[in-house]
Amino acid sequence: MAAEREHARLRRLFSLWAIYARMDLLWVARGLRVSVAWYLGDLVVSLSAVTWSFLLAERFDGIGAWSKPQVVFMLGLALLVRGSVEFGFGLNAAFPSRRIGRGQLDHMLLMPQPLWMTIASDGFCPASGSGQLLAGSAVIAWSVHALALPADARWLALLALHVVSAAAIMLAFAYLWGSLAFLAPRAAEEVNSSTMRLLEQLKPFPLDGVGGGLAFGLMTVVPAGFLAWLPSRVLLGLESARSAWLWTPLAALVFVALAAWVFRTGLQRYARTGSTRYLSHGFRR
Amino acid sequence: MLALRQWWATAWLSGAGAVGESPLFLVDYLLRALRVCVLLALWRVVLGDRADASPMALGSVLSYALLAEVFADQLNVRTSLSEAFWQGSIAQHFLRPMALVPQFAAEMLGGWLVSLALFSLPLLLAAPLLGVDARPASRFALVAFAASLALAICVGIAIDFIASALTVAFEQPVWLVQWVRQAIAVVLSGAVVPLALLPWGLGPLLEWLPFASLAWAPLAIYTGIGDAARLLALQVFWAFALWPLAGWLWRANREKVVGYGG
Repeated sequence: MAAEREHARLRRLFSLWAIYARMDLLWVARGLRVSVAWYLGDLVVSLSAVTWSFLLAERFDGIGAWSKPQVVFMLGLALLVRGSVEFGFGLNAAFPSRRIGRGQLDHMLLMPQPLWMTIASDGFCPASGSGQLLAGSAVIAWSVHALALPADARWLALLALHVVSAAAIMLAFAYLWGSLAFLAPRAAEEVNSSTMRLLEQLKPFPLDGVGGGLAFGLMTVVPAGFLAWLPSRVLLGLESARSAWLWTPLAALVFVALAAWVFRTGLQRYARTGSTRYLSHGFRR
Repeated sequence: MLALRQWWATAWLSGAGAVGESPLFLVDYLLRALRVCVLLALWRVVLGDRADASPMALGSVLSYALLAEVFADQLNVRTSLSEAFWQGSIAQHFLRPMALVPQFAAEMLGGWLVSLALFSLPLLLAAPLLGVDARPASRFALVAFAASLALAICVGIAIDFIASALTVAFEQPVWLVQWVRQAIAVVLSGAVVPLALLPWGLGPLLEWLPFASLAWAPLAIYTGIGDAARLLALQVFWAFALWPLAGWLWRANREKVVGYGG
């Protein structure tokens, strides 16, 4: 019985993904000007996020102990991780503080399905969210060739595992901080813009040599180190520990569990207070 | 006098709106402070064993990076004009008894005052604790920096109005144009990486673009790594070139503005 219910839920999730994918495709394909502008814009934005790190690597022939191709690999991985989040959690699904602050959580709660299913599906953007994923894949392919990495099935599985884990950490971090909007919808509405910007700006740098305290902070308080640096160290074979391949996936489990608990606690509070959006003095009315 | 009072009242409302609800808005500043610490540490890593290859001394780069954070809002000007399109509140702005540019400039200033008091000033005072000498290169550099910062803001507002007018003209999504503008400006303005540190001789070329007037010019003047007279002249040129363009584009497109609604 339970297995049947799970099966039905899974079917529902897939059908939702199909619906959102179709809507996303229709949105992008509604005109040539829109499509071209969107993909060009997405390309500029995604490349700019890693450009300065690349330019520094080019200027100084690497960053710290990292050679130029190694830095490029890390930048490709950073793009791939962000691209995965854009692909599956676009339309502010990765910015929960906006949805909570703007009262849009009410719309999600009204949907005839569990909240987790709405979160997992309504930001599915395989067309408009594919730009960074494609750019990241191209950069990774180039650096794999430049570094002569053994891109066999085992290595590719390891790459996929790290991309998924890092994307999960990115999302968990967004939900951890975004839950502040349950307490202060106005003051914390844009907190996810700050957290995402912070991750975006710090992820394309090798953190070797930043100091123990800062490195610890960048693996816990702001887990930028898990998004590209540590996974790159593992995938490039720079980590000698045998268990190194497990570190990022385990961190993802911890961050996701913590984020789920914090978000659920906030949701319980929201059930009592609700949103101010539709009140006569609602700040975004 | 009345215009000044209107301007100040708008700035005050905007600043109070950002801080009125909860002290949780301070979280943003904590995250920014963390970012500064990391960026300073990264510069030490990047230039650590390659200082000889750099045209800028590590001390100057650290000072540049810290100042870029202290004046981050002013070096990357962004009014709430495009948000007003998105939220539909542009209609209310048109109805107010105040010209549009001063309205948005005043709103922006309100946010800056809070940021200056709660983040910029404490960060500047904490510079020695972070191992950064944040003093200007000379007294002249400080005076020239003040003038250059004012020009940077002037050029920044013009670019913001041009980007917003183009959003309307080409009927593009508001956030897409803003993202692209921000992305281009951050890379080309020297707000993150000083233009002097760019490879392939890009720095001297980019210095001629209007984006360099936003961040590179004031920061290079403050740290004494740029020719103040030339940089100020370039900023004046861009201010005179961009404002007529911004005015013309805005006038040509303002009647096509569509408020998307909140």
